[in-house]
Amino acid sequence: MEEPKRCDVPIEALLRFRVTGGFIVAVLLTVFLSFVSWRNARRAGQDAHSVSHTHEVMATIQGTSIDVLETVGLILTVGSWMLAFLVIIRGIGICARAQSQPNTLNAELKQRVKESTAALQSGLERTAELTVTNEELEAFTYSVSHDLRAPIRHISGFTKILLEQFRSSLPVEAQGHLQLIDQAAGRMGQMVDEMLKLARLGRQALEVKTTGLSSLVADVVTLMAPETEGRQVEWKVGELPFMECDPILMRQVFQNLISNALKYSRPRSPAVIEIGQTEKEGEKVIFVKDNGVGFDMKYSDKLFGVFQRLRVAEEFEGNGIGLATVERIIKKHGGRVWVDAELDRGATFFFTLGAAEHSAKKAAAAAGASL
Amino acid sequence: MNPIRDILLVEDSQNDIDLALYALREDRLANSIFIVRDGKEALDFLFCRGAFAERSFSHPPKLVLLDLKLTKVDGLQVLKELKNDSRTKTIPVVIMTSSNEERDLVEGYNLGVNSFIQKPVDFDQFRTTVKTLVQYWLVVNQPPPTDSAPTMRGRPLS
Repeated sequence: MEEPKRCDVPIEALLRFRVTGGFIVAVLLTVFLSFVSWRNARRAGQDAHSVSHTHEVMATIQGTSIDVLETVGLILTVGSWMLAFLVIIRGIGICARAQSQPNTLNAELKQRVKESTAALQSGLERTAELTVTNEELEAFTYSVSHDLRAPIRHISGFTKILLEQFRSSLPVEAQGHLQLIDQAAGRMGQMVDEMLKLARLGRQALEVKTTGLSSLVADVVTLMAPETEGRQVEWKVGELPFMECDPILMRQVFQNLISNALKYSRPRSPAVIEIGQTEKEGEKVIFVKDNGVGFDMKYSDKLFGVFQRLRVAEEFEGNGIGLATVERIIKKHGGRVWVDAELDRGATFFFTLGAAEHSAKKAAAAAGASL
Repeated sequence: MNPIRDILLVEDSQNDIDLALYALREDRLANSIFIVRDGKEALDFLFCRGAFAERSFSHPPKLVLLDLKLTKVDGLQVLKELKNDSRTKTIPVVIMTSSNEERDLVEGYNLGVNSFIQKPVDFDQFRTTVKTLVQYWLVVNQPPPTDSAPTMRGRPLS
């Protein structure tokens, strides 16, 4: 790619100064030298036939006497005229260039504006393209997931029928294989349905309301009771704010994060799960912290990907879509979600609600309302 | 051809037909099913025309299980014609589809569908679903009296 030319505006003034200055100096020099040589010539004329003190015949070449001063004057006159001539010629050249410079600069400026506009345009187009691509991708995911449901249902169905109707005539090994096919189809079906949910989330419009997170979290914790059965779980739920968010989606966020925390702290007794708020750069940050098995932060970029898991399914069940859903919901709210974890020392998930919350603050300030 | 069956299954996938029949066979309901494979055939059956000209409006099916993705005439169009005709609008229609596209849901209910079911991927759930809804519509639910004029009974469509 061609590097854009530097636009040095002061060079114009500099050139003008040099040309004008050079020209004046040359003219003055010429006038002075002309005057000197004229005076010398006059004097020489006056003293042509007399031997003056000032005139000394320095050399005689073939009988021609050469007047030193006269010669010097002549050389200087010719030289100064030549110099002046050169300066003028050069000056004209520079002037011409200097005059054309604004055009060049102008053209350059225009070119740069054009380039910037083009870049902006292409940027906008790229954004639009990406948006379209994203939408297309989502539509694609949605339709593929839909279309996959039927064949998976058929695999699951006929495998079950085989097992039910023909079990007695099937060798044990074949029965085992069929069972595996059935389980795999079941998993695939779950994944496809989760994908559909996720894709639907992208299409769903946010229904933002002022939501008390404390009661929402309390509900979710109650909902989790079956998962905590037979376990020692210490809940530390701090004061949580009212926030502008979609309550149904926010409940999903807490459900996924808390269920995650419960799942990965299963080897701990007691499992300590902390839910609270903190502040970062003036922004409310909500966190869900556990003292579970954690993970190595070098894999943290994989955490929010669809079907990405850091643990094998045999160890901790799951379909690898919970955190992807959390991220999708938070992003939809204009917020951010991140994690801090250490292997064997638990994990803390943080999120902000960003734009939805900011606009709500403004609205609240405008209404002078407080909750 | 003048089949008097309780259930009309409108389904273009043979696999889904087989699975539905398998599920219903357990409850000995498979014999009460009549199967059509596309939307046009469904409309012919319901409006007693074409190949089904000998059928009578006085013996409507007690339940229509309707897939949405159909050839010739799609499921929602079948539903629309069915619910827009006083002779057929009281027949319970259950949409059974792979998709649960919101557009289809909204459109389906606007057109007056009685129930909307997404076919579960898992066969056990699919089987339970089919059995439950057939049980409900054929056994639990009171069908509209067939001898009275449906136009008087059915609420006018807005």
